[in-house]
Amino acid sequence: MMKSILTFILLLALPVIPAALNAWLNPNVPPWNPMQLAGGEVALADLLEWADDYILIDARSPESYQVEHMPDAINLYAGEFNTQIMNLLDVWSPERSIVIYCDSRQCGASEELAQRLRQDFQMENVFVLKGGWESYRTSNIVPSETTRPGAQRTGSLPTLNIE
Amino acid sequence: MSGMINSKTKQPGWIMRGALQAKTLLVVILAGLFVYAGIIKLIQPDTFLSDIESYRMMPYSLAWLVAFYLPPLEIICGLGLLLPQLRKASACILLLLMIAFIIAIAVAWGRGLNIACGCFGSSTEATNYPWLIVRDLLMAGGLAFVLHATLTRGVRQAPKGHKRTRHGDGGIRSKTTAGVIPR
Repeated sequence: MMKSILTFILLLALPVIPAALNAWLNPNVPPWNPMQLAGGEVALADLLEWADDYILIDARSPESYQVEHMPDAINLYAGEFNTQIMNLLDVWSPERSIVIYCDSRQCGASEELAQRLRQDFQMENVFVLKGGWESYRTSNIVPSETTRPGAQRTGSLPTLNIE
Repeated sequence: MSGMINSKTKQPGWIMRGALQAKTLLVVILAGLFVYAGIIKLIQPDTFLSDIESYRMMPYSLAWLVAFYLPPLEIICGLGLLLPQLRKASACILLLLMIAFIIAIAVAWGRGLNIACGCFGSSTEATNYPWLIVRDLLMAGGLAFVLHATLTRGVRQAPKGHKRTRHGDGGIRSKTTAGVIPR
């Protein structure tokens, strides 16, 4: 019995060593501070200053997209990927950056979509909007009606009361 | 019953051999699954962290620690399943993990969250909750079977004249003057 308990504790304690090594050596270590930008992330405030042309992608469900979305964003939901990817490919060109957002910091869908676009479509300059839709909704930026999804834009989201 | 133990040779019968082979195969499959799942998550802790965060069950700092601790735990316990000395504890830990995963997925489903399971690395597919739960239940069932088989190993009626002895790996084996009956 005692031996079983010791084995149990040993197995629970042993992973601490490779976990520490991984946190030290892995190049994909996420930041300890949730507000700090990780590689491939962009903050909304920085996005507004961008001089480069970019395409906004909404990785939320089509239902959420229909209700409200960021200006000129293209909907590209994981569950509808095969049908909606054409909307992106129609407007994408190698010199254009891509910025993806989902619900919030915790959603994960934008990060996974970014990874898929980088790996499967060899797209470079794919970024994730830190904080996602929540960061946009809670900012002073007023959502506007989308008329031309994927339209050319250079950091000029319709804004109001930006300090 | 000749299927269980051959009365002439005292060797395990075909039923016993079949059960042993099935158990061995199950252990190898489960070990492979956990090692594979662990390695994928170990390589990409940032993606795994965002998967954990999508469940919205813990603060960021705790999710960060879990993102680094869980993958090596899965790998070590997966490998532990292959070693008779560590099988019981490994199966116990992994079974508890699977129960926690099932609860987490069920809660996320109930809260209407769109989670990335994170079980086997990143997935861009829409969340299929019933499939996730069924898959985890199958794995939990397999682990429960392995754990039960490990705990009850050798605790069967020894043939007359045989002495049951406890071994270092926790198993109890029937022993004669000719040696240990292989299991």
